[in-house]
Amino acid sequence: MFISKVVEGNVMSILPLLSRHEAEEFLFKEARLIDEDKLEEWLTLFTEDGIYWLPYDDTTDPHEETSIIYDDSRQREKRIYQLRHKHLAQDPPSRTIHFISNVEVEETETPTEVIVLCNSMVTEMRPGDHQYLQHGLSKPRTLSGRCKYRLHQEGDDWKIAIKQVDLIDRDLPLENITFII
Amino acid sequence: MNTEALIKETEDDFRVHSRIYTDPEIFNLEMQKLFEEGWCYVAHESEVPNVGDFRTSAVGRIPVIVSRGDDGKVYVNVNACRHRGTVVCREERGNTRFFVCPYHGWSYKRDGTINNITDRDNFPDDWGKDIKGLIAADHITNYRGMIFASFNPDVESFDTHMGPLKKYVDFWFDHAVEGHVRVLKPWRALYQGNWKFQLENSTDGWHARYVHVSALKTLTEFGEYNSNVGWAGCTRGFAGGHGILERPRGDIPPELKSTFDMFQQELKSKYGDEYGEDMFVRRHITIFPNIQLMEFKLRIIQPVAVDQTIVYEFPVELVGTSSEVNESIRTRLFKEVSISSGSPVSGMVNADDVEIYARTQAGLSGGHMAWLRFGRGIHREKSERENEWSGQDMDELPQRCLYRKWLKAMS
Ligand code: FES
Ligand SMILES: [Fe+2]
Repeated sequence: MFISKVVEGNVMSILPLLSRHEAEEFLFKEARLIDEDKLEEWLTLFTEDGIYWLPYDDTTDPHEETSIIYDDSRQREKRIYQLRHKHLAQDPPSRTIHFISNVEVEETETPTEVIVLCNSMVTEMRPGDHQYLQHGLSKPRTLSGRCKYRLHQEGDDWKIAIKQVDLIDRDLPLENITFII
Repeated sequence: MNTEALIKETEDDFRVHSRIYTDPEIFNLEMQKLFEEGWCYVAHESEVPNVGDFRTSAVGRIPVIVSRGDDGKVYVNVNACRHRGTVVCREERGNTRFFVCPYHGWSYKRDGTINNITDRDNFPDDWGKDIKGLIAADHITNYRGMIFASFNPDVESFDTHMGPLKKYVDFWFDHAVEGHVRVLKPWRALYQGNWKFQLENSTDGWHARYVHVSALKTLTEFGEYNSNVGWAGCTRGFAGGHGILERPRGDIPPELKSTFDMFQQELKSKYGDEYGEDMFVRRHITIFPNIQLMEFKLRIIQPVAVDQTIVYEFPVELVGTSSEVNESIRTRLFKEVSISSGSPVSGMVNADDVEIYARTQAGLSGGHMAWLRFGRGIHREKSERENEWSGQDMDELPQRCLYRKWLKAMS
């Protein structure tokens, strides 16, 4: 859990690369950005070649087999651009609340990278149908998933190299996921 | 049920009653007449390539097992034990020697024939001699790898059902050097609306400029769509209820252009210029009642209830075609650069269609909006071939052909 870090003056001290507390702060901030619809800022949390991935099966190669979502930075930008330009399935847009728990930090071979594991539960609802005419609209829906983040240290910041969310119902036919998990 | 009263066609108008989207009784009749007693797609051959491979599927409401027997042939059997009806196989796909019922242990061979009735000693000698195996489909057909089944001994011939659509389906499969495709694992989507909304929509050339405004705007912004191509092409409809929307190929992004040019050149040298040109036109092909051949993906519509539908989309690999071309196709599909592609659940395009289906289902609540109108271009339907009609690219011609067939099959 702890590695040696060279600090100024060549004195060796034992510091965690990223503490659980720091990891939580990072995850809570990400959740807040999504829930407060600050999606342009959410985009900046990723590394340039960062990936946002909702697999059907994480043992398959996402370039060879289908995923629910497999977004590189360009895809993420397109996704947010479309949300801001009358994406019918997001008009009105979803409201979300992210609950994050069971956070654990694991080190990797690379000194500038850690794996952060957590559970996430997302409650989502699209308002806009006060008569309850449209089935599924105006009704909170819950998505639960096991998350795996690979975080990369860039200067003082941590950035997302991969955000992977394994939904518990990933292999079933799913309704629209046009918001950010 | 008097289905005649549900579709009204006159010289210059075409109306469909809203009950066909909302009435569970009509839904059940559709499942029987159109799916179970018609020709229903059950699986693609490439999903069961080896002896013992199986995949569970459905024909309308009937659960089935599609499996490859010891003789290498594909079989379609009802997925219910002949003893007391328990589902015999629950896995979606796999490979097995026997299908064993979990209730009292009866077992069936790969082709569905009976292997063992347990505790034989406790039955009269001749008991159960009539049980030859799981209940087999009355007819099975394999057309270019697509497996169809029918639970109607007197179903019309598959050739008659397909009619002149065959030519276009062949175009689609001829894109592969070896003439057939392999399907990848599907995207799976669920929507809260009637199955026919999806059936109507893929050949509806009119809605894109409204429903897909945001997708087109996004693709244009990111330099992935050439809006100069404009809206051209045509629609086609068939006596079998099938339909086609044809569009010129205008949205190939710059980074894939050279591969696609090479791809078409290969096809032209294989089939000749004329065929190579004609087959390469972009087409959405609907095979009645539940298949849509889209751009390099096979879409299957699986109705669940009158107001709930599952859609499977299988990206395809063109067998024998260069890996460069196949890779470009995957890039195009997975990254949603094509306006007709991408994950249906979270992609740029289908998610918006699905929103319309649910919203239309909502509008039909209460049944007071009784008649849906499909009149666009009804005054200019043309027929150059028997059982085939054509119209302008945004005409509601494929939908009219679909409902003419619907009425015939339902009565
Ligand atoms: S129901 Fe299958 S063995 Fe009894
Ligand atoms: Fe559409």
